[in-house]
Amino acid sequence: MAWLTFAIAAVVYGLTVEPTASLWDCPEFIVCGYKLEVGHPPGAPFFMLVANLFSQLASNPSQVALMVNLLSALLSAGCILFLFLTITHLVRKLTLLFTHHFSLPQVITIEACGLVGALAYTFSDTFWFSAVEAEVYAFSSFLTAMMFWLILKWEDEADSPRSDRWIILIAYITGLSIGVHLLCLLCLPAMVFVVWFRKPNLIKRLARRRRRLVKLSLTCLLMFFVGFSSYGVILIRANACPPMCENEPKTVPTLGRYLSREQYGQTPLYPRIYSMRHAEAYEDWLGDIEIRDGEPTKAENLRFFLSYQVNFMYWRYFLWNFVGRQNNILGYGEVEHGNWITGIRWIDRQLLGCDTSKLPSDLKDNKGRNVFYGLPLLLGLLGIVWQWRRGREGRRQLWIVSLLFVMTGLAIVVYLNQTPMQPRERDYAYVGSFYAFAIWIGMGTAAVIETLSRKLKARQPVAAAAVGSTICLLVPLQMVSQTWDDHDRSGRYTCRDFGRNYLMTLQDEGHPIIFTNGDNDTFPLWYNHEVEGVRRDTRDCNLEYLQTDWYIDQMKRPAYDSPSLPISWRHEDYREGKREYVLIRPELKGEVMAFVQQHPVEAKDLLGDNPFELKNIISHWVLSEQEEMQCIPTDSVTVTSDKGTMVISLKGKPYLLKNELMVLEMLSHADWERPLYTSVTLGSDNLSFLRNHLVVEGLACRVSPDNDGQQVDVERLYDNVMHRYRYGGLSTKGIYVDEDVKRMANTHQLIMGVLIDTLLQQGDNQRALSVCRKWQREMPQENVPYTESALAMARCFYLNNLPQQGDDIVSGLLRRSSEWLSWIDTITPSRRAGSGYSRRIWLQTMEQALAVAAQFKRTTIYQQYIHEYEQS
Amino acid sequence: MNMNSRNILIIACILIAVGYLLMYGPGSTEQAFNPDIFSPRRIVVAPMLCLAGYLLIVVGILKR
Repeated sequence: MAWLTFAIAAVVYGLTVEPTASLWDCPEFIVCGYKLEVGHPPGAPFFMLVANLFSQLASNPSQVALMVNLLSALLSAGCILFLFLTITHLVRKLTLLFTHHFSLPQVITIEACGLVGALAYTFSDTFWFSAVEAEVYAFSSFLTAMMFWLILKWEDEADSPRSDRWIILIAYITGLSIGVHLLCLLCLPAMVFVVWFRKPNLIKRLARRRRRLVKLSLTCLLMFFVGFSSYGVILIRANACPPMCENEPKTVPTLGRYLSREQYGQTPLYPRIYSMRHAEAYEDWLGDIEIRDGEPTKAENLRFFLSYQVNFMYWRYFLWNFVGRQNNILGYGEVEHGNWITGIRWIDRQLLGCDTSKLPSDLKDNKGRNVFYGLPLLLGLLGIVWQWRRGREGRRQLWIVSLLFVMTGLAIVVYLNQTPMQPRERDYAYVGSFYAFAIWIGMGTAAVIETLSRKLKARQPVAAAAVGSTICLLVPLQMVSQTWDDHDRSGRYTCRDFGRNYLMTLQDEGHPIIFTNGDNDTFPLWYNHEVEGVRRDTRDCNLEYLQTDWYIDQMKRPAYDSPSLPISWRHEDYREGKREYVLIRPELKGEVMAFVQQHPVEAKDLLGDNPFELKNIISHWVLSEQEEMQCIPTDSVTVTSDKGTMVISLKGKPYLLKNELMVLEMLSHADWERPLYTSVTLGSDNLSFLRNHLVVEGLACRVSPDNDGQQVDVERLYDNVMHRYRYGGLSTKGIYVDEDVKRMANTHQLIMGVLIDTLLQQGDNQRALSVCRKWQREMPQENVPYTESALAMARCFYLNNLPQQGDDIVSGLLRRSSEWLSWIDTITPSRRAGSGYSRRIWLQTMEQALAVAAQFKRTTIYQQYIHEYEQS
Repeated sequence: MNMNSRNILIIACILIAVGYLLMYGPGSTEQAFNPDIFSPRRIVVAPMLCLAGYLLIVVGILKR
């Protein structure tokens, strides 16, 4: 039976696994495993070893990611196996209390408990998410489940002389598990409880054999360090200087800093409102914050802890898994995004304060919408009561499972002290506590069967057990009917293809460099470089890392076919703490000019030919040994070459950060021979001083010496979109497009819209039309709903005398805007403000769609919606 | 600790040590990219030996 649950889980995860890399950290972990490169702190060396073994099973590099994903699927199935064993072990013990031999109904009950609990967890949202991608969470869940089971095993045998081996094994796996994820350690406190409950026996034994205890402790310590020694992989591989080597932990002290995740800074346990950077976000969440002596009061800290950290960032996730989830959209507390729901209309209406019967179709059809009517929660609560009422042994068990539940749930909340505005949902960190709850769901089955047999007055105990089991089995079956469609990642190649598209945007000559910023426009590129060997003549340079000295070191090394980046600074020039930022002081401009006029010869010697030329500013000012000289004495920097003079305006900018200085340094040495690109997903704050010198060529813009504002290179853009890009299987019917994938697809649509409009401006209606066809073929609206970028397509259709197709787009957008706007009006006034952003977006979409309808005289459509728009 | 278990543990540790030795080698520098950092010896054989060692330890412990 245990292996049956393993098989079910393995098949389910095998069918829904992503066939290539997934977003966020997954591409990085695949590179770590396949090529033993060094990922982000604190590293996962043991994961790397196991993933490496699995990657060897791939027949070619494009299969590597799938193999590592399958590792997660198998480990998750293994976790389910241990969950089954744990539940049946616990229930069997509680059943044995009352009888000494098992009868058939009891056997059915025990097995049914295991099956229901294990399947409920198999099909739960958060666990499934990590089971089908290359992350460490599946592995850490597996180790946690195994350790917890080992602890119970040891408890069982604690009195026998061979029980020591279980303790030694636990110590060893503890050491190993640090090489996967620290989360695994959180099940150890449960062991303390076990010892506590066994105290009388243990103390007696230990008193008899003190020498044995010393020997055992030493063995455990030794085995712990043997397990921990997997960090050798990190140390050795960092010294090989692979292209990806985060934080470069080459020596023991740097490895120590790497392990303690120093890069991420220290988070205090108190106050709960601590991050200056998030001052505004705290206020957005809490409303007015009461301040005393310049600090938020204790009451406000408590309010934030309870309302945000505990309630929103923990219980919401818990309830997603066992009650229901509204949709897969990242939520910041708005009525429309990522809440927990029950699926029972009148309760949800109270919870959300809106009319759920009028939901816009975008939300109603969201695959992430899963409702369980709270059944798994109810079953779990019944399980808790059942366990509690099983005498002393039951209460002991309850303590142990509760400790696991709290340590892997609320304790993490206390430790993390999260700030508002997290960039993604964090439910994956709490899988351990959902695991503990699944144990109780299993026990709920026993409670149901017991109630049934009492009703039947024990006349037909077998029938009661069979009926009860079947009823409870319906709960996980109902769960999978909801969760399958939003966890089925089969056929999805978006992460790989979109990463590849960034690289394919870059021109083929001159070893281009692309500057990126976020996780999802960096790690997929690394994956393509390192694993699939795509465009190894190019280099990705992440601006966030470029602020650190170790990353600049790496950029100065060649990687594959990409030569070193054009950086002439020595390591001492950019060492940590040096030139972290340099002030821009336009007030010095006058002085400098006066100096040049009065002493032309000395000035040339000291400041170079043109004192405001980028090269001269860097070498004579920024790199000056005198600290008061380390500034930029102008707000208008020139870069002269035979391609003309580029004037970079730094107006209004108080300083340049180290990464910005590095970009300028590269610009000054690239001499327009080596193309520099910025990713379109950089965000407007980054490298804003290059804004007027960019040429859009696709997902990246080339930095050009022209000063004419943003340009579009139509021919290159057309070639990229039509011939060089791939679209990740988004044309496949029924493919699962989650919010992150959708956002990246929208980025593609945005540049396609720009391309269509530019072609239309040039009168090239024919090619514009073929771009529209490409869009509709590769990203049909059933998979990626249109946004206002699609209005470019509508314009193109109207101009090509295809009014019907234009109308489809315009009226579709108008209908969805209207659905959204009228639903937002049903939200209770006190909560409506949170939906202001959605409202603005859809109002804007409506306005633009109406403008297109008016421009091309589509009177029927226009008349239908203009009234509603004017009222909104 | 009986001999059998101890022998297994010693063999496992030797495997791990040999794995790390094989993993070791020269790295890339500012002057040149070194393709040898991805040679089969360093990223296929070495990690497999290490992993075999780590797994064998579990066997060794359970044999006690």
